[in-house]
Amino acid sequence: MNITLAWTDWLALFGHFMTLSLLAVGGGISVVPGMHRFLVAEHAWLTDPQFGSSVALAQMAPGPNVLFVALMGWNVGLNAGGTAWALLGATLCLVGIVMPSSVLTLVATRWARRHRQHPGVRAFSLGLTPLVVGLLASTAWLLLGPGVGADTPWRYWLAGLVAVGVLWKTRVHLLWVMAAGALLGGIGWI
Amino acid sequence: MANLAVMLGDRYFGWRGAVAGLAGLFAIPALAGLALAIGYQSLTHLPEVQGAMRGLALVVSALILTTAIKLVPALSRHPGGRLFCALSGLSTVLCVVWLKWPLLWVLLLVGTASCLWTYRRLAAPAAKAGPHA
Repeated sequence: MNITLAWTDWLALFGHFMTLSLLAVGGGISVVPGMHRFLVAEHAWLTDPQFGSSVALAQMAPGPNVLFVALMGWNVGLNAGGTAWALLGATLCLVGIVMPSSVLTLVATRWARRHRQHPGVRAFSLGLTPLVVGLLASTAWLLLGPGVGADTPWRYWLAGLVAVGVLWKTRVHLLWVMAAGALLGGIGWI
Repeated sequence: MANLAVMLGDRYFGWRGAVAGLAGLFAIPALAGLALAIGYQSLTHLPEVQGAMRGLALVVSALILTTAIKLVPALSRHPGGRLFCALSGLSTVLCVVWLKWPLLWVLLLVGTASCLWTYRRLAAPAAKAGPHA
C-alpha cells in the first residue's frame, strides 16, 4: 500500500495521538478504537490487517504495552515511503501517546492523591470504570478485524473462548497461548 | 508502567529523571518490537504467516477481553449500582463499535453522565442508597 503524507498530515498524526493520550483513561489499549477510526477508517493510512498486526506483534515484545503505537507509526511510515519515514512515524506516535499523559501524571498525581477522598475525585475515577470496561471490550472486538462475521467457522470462536478461559483462570504464560493461537492459525484450523 | 517511570524518575532526579526513565523504559523494547515488525513484513506474503497472524490477533483480542472481564468484580461494589454500570459499559460499546463515534464524544457524553451519576450516589446519604450501593 502506498500513501502520500504532507507535513501537515504528520502533524495531524502527532496531534491525534496527543489527544488520545489525554483520553486514555484505561491505558493505551483503551483508546485503540480511536486510533482505528483515525488511521484506518478516516485516513486509510493503514490497512485493517496492518493495524491489527501492529497491536498483536507488539504484545509479543517485552516492555510497556503502549509500544504498539510505535508499530502503528512504523507501518504508516512504511506505507508513506520507507524506513526513514517509518522511524519518524514510530517516534511521533510513541511520543504523542506518552508525553501528554506523562506530563499530566507529573502534575496531577500529587494533587489527586491529596484529594482522593474528595467526592469529586472519587466520582471521576469510579464513574469512568464502566467506560474503561466498555472501551476494552470494544478494542477486543475491533482487533478481530473486518473479516469476522456470520460465516466465521465455529472453531474460531471456540479457540477465542478457550483463550479467554486460559488467560482468565490459569497461570499459563501469555506467550504460550499466543504460540498456540499462531500455530492453529498457521495450519489453517481457525 | 510509563506513568510509574515518570513518577519515580521525577521523584529522584527531577524532570530530567522523568525523561530518562521514559527513554530507558522504551528504547530496547521498541527495537525488539520493530524487529518483530520487520521480520513479519518480510514473510507476510506467505499464507501460513497470514493465518498465524489471524490466530495471534485472536489471542490478543482474548487477552484484552480478559482484562475487561477482570475489572467486572470491582463494578459489583460500584456506588452507582450494577444496573448503572451495565448501562454505562454497554452504551460505551454501542457508541464505539456500532455508531463509530469519536472517543472524545463518547467520553464527554457517557463519561460525564457516568461521573455525575456516581457523584450523586456518593453524595447521597447511605439510607437512600440502593441495595447494591
